[in-house]
Amino acid sequence: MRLDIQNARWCIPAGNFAVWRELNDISVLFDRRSGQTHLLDAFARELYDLITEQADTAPELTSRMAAILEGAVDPALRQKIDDTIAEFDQLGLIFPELTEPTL
Amino acid sequence: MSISATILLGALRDPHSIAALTPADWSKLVFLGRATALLGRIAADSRKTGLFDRLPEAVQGHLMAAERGAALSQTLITWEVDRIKRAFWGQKQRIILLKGAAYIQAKLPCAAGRPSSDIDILVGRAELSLVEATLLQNGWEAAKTTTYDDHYYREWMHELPPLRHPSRQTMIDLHHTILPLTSRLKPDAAKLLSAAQPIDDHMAVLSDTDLILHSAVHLFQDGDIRNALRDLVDQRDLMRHFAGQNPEFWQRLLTRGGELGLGRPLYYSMRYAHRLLALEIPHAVLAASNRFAPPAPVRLMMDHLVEAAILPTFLFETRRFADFAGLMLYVRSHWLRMPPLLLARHLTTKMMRRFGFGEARARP
Amino acid sequence: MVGNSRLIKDLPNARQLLAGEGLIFRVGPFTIRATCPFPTLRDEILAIYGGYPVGRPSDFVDYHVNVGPGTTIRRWFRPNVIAEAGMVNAPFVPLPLDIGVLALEMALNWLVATTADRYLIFHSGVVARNGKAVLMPGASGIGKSTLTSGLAFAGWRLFSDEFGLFDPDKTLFYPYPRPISLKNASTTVMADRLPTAVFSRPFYNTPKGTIRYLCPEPEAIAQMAEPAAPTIILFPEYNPTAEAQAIELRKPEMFAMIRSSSVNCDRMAEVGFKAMTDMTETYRGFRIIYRSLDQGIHMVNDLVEQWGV
Repeated sequence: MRLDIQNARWCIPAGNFAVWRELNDISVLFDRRSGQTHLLDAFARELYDLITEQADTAPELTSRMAAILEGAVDPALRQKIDDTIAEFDQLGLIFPELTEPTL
Repeated sequence: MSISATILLGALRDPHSIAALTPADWSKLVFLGRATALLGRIAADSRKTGLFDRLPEAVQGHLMAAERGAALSQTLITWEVDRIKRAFWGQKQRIILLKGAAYIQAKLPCAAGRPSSDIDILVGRAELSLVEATLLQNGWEAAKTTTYDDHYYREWMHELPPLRHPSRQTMIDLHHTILPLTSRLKPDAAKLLSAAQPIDDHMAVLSDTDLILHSAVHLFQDGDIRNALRDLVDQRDLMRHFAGQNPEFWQRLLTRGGELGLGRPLYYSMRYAHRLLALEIPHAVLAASNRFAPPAPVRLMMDHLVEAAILPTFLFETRRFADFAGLMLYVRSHWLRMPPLLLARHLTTKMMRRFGFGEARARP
Repeated sequence: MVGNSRLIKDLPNARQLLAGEGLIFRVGPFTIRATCPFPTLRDEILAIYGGYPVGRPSDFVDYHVNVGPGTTIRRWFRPNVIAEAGMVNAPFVPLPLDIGVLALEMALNWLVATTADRYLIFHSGVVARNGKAVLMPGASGIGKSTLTSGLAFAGWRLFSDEFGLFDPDKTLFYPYPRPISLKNASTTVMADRLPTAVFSRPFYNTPKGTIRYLCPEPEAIAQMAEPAAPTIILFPEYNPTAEAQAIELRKPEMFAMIRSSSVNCDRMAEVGFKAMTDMTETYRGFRIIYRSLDQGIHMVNDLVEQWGV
């Protein structure tokens, strides 16, 4: 199964599991679900916060990020959002929202 | 029974009894608790009874360490389950968690302080290749690599070679039934699957009776005595938990054991959980379980072997009989699950490999 | 209490205890019970542990270790020894009898690294002065043991050349002053430098080359029940051809380096995370590159003087 990253709505899994510390320009995240520690730069942190505020698809998140950066939705931004989402997904920080019917 | 084993059993039988232990007793209990993977459980009990704060400081340190080890292993198991759910996102695949992962996800009392390193999952035989393929597509890899291992697993065992995601430590054992295909006991896996209880959209656990029967089979039939006492504690806790919810449970358990052809391991489980771990079983139930008992001489032999093999030995006590008993149980259980010719072949291959004639084994 | 205890070297029956019911002694927060059936090995164990306080049979014992015969058939031809500590997955390997004392040392390292999870454990040298402990994490082979032992005989109290034990509840480092394991070139450097210190004989052809154990100063052992608060954190690199310098680390980098030097941060989970981020935020961290041991010692003294809190 390969998820279509463009169509999925990404959300932060429910529950109080993220422990944050700020070290200079880096956000350090301890994820209670995985027991892993992650270092996020300002861009990644902002994207994470956007998803926390509201679950969204990659194109929507790109528009919202563009608004914050006061710039246009260009291919470079789109690519960076897609890559970061893929990385978050790989690390299990975000989850595609379950729209599938229950068994 | 050695004095040290008595101390360990005492702590497991009655969690309040640790209040009376001397520091020298604790030396043995910490050692044996660690050797049997039960120290985390003793720690959890000591929190529940409120005795933790009254223990010697050094003992508290070891109990904290055991709690942390168990907590990490449970985090990793829960995390792997989450990753499996992610891999099956959008698919209607039900996956049944077994043993440790099941106790953790179903929040059963025996999960308290219990370390688990692997995930065992059960799916229907027809779904097996699809489930394996999905995991492989999502980055899991076969962890054992020799062709003999692979052949051995697929042809004779009840599971595929374990899978592991290269970025994580947890092994996944994928089963389509609960005993090797060659075993004399052939519980009907379809019956287990259809009785399983869902815990969320993807995951399920075996029914209450089947959780116990599976653990009993694993210990008394499958011959996995590495964590024998821990497994018996699981069974004791499960029986106590479900019988505490409804006394009718005992009758259902015996009936189900008979129905699945697993009466004998159930008999052993009840017998030793009662004798060694003070499981309260109504007299009538105990009497009824006798219909699954082996002939008297076998029972006597098992009483000795099980006690010797299940109970750990303290480093400074002799353990010759325990080694022998462990070997006897291993041979016995292999004999039970493999036809003699196969067994000879398997043991020969194993021995050849030990002496360096086998294929090299790459471990990731 | 430790200060007044009897020492192993003053115990007339230490050899018999090692041969029989077990010699119980204390190192830092741990009580160890050791047994050994080999007479020559017993003497070597006593030679490096003579200065440690004896425990009583009624004490709680943290770790039981038997340094006994290996199990292979080869032992009839070539005696070898293996440590046994009752741990199922212990990676202990048989060693030739001649270097058998390493089996005990490796077992004690392994037991602490895998089971002492009341502490956040760092792979690090630690020394303390005036109640402040300097953590000096580093991989093997970059001079960590040498710098630690240099400091331990130059006005600092040895906590450990191998493990920093940090109690996250009390936010204190605890001493674990086992004999310092010197390797290869530093065995001769330190023997020349410290003519009055107690050394083991050299052990040749070990898995790590030549090893020689250096016993801590008696005061370090006498005060081994006294913890100390953290102060600066140093990442030492001995390099005789580089330019000496101290480079202050940025916080994210310091966090990453502290975390990678922790032995058990996974098992310590959130408690460990909080302790390590607190440490990063509170104290300064430096890489120090030094060309000689004396220079290294000076740099440590200067940095603590200037930045220690």
